[in-house]
Formats: sequence, structure tokens, C-alpha cells
Amino acid sequence: MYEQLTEFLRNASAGNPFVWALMIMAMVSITSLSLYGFWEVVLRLTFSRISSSGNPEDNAGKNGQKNGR
Amino acid sequence: MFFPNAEVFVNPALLLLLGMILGTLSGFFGVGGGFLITGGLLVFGVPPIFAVGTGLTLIMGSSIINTLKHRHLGNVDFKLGIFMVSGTIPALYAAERLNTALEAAGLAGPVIRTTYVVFLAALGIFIVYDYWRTRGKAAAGGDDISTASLARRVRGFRIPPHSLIIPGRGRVSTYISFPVSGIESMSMFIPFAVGLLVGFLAGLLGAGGGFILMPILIFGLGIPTTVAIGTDLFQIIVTGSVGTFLYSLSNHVDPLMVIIMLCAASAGSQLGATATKFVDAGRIRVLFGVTILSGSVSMALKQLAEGNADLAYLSTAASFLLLSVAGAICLVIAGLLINAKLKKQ
Repeated sequence: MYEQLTEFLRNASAGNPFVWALMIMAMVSITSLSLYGFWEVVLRLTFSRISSSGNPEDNAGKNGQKNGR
Repeated sequence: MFFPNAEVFVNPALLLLLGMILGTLSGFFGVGGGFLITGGLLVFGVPPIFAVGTGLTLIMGSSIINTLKHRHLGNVDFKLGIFMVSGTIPALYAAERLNTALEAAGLAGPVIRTTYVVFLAALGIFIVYDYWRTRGKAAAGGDDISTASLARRVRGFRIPPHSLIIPGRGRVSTYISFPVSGIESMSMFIPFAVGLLVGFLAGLLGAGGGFILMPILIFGLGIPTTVAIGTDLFQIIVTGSVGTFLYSLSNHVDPLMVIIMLCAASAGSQLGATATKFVDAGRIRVLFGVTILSGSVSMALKQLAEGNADLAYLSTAASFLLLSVAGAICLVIAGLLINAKLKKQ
């Protein structure tokens, strides 16, 4: 896998410089957007968990509803 | 780990650490961190030209993440950013021409390094001084910065032509409001001129220009610190992209190294950008002042080491100094964020 990636990067950089430059810019932009999206999802999930577990009254209410059912 | 484009072995853990530091500082201060990343990569043994090219590519990626994060926090004035960028692009080209002429005359190295040292030192001293002068005023309801009256005067400059004729829209005023920055009316030529100045200096110094633009926006135009940070990052995307494209054309970027550092920088960005929401603006500015002062000392040490074989160790010491200060500032940011959150609770 690593060898294949190394080979690909070597071949791509030896080709047309304009295409290589565009490829790097596209790759960095897509990676940045994906990483931003990843952290947004992770943080939202984390905060929603903290807020749901950090409010004992809400939890008591929820448990009461569950028991009532 | 071997990096095929730069043809160098570097420990990926060090790259992750450097990426994390850069992401945190970039998100917190709204700067690209070119002076930090290039120095760090040089210490890791990356060839100089690859250190600059790879650094600029990382700055581009990290600025995209940070701009999106700050947009989410309502800190980016896109309108102001677009006017500045329209001045930055031609200025970058002019600076590149001047750099080539200086290079041909053999003056590029000393001129760039001396300008860097003087600029960073002057800005750092001014920012720290401003903090000491105004730290009681903000709490008392006064102006947050010492140059508030100057900023009001700059924003009120009347620059001709006062209107332009645009086909289909008739006569249009050149005075525009920038609501995100809290500016009711300002000549569009002012942000354009700021873009020209920053683009020229950034192109001349081979940096993203964030460390110049952020103080200009805060102290020159009186823009709130958090909005200055977000808008600054938006502008750095453009300068970083131009640099990335040029260095990629000459094949001086290692994409594998960029991706590894970008993963860590994205985590640091979350910390840095979120901290701006909780940390007092004055503290952000004073920490920024300390960081760029250490950048100035580091650059001065490099200048001393240049051309003197006996003092060559000073160059490595300079990079270590800068990395240590940057690491310490990251810890301070994390501490301030935790402290602010605990106080809020």
C-alpha cells in the first residue's frame, strides 16, 4: 500500500506540472473540507452526549416517562 | 517514514506535533504561521525549498478549516475580505518581480531577513505595549485599543472618486457598509489599499501576510479582534493558494507530509478557534504579540548565523526557540479555554 502510494506520487509529480499543481490544490482542499466536516460531527455528538448526561433533572424526567410506560 | 517527493526521512509523530501547534495558533490568532512551519520543517531535516512549499500548502489547508470554523462562529467578514483580496493579488505579483530583482542583485536574503526582524519586533512591542496601556480601560467601558481614535479617522477618510458609474446599475457610491465588522460606511478603496500593502509585504517576505494584516485590521481599522482573526484567515486562503500553486508547479511540495500535518492541524484548529469565543480579546492580542516577538528574536538569530560558520548552531537554536514558545502558547491557550469554561459553569 505504502509502496504503491510512493510510486503513484513519484509518477504523478514527474508528469505535467500544471496537472500536478492542480491535483495538489484539489487534494488539500478536499482533505480540509472532509476534516472540518469530521470534527464538526465529532464535536456535535460529544456535546449532545455531555448535555444529555449533564442535566440530571432531564434524565430523571426521561427515566420517569420510561418507567411510566 | 520516507517522504518520496522531498526525498527525506522524518518521524511522523514530529509532523503531527508541528501540525497541531500550527492549527491551534492559526485558529486562535488568525495567522498562517509561515515563520513557524518553515522553521520547524527545517529542524526536521526537510530541504529548505520543500520546507517553504510544503509549509505554504499546509497553511492553505489549515486556513480553509479555520475560516470555516470562524464562519460558524460568525467571525468572518467576507465582504471586507473580497475587497482586500482584490488588492492582494496584483501586489503579490509586484512583490514577486521585486524579489526577483533583489535576488539578481544578491540582496534578497539580507533585505528579507532584516525587514522581517524589524517588522516583527515593531509589531510585537507595539501590541504588548498596547495591552499594558489599555488593560484597565476595557473593563471601565472605554476603548479597547489605544488607537481607537486613529481607527475612527481612517474609517472616515474621504477618497475620490466618491461614486462610480456601473453599466446597468447607474451611479454607485464607493462608500460601503461592513456590518459584520461594525463599520457603517467606509470607502472601498481603504480595504483595497490594505490588501495592496499586505500582499506586497507578504510577497516580499514569502509569508501569508496574516501577522501584518491582523494588527492592521484591529489597530488601523478598529475591527473587533475575533472578526479580524476570521477575515484574516479568509485572506490567507488566497495567498496560501497562490503560493501552493507556484511551488507545486516547480515540484517543491510533499503532499504526503501536508496530509499528515493537516490531520493534526484540524484538531488544533478546533481548540484555537473555539478558544477565541471564551478568551478575552486583550489576552488574544498580548499572546499574539509575544509570539511574533519570539519570531523576531528567532529571525535575528538566523541572520547572525548566516555567513558565519562558527555561529551556525544559532540557526537551529532559533527554530527550537520558536517551536518551544509556540508549544508553550498552545498550552496557555488550552489552559485559558479550560479556565473560561469552568468559570462559565
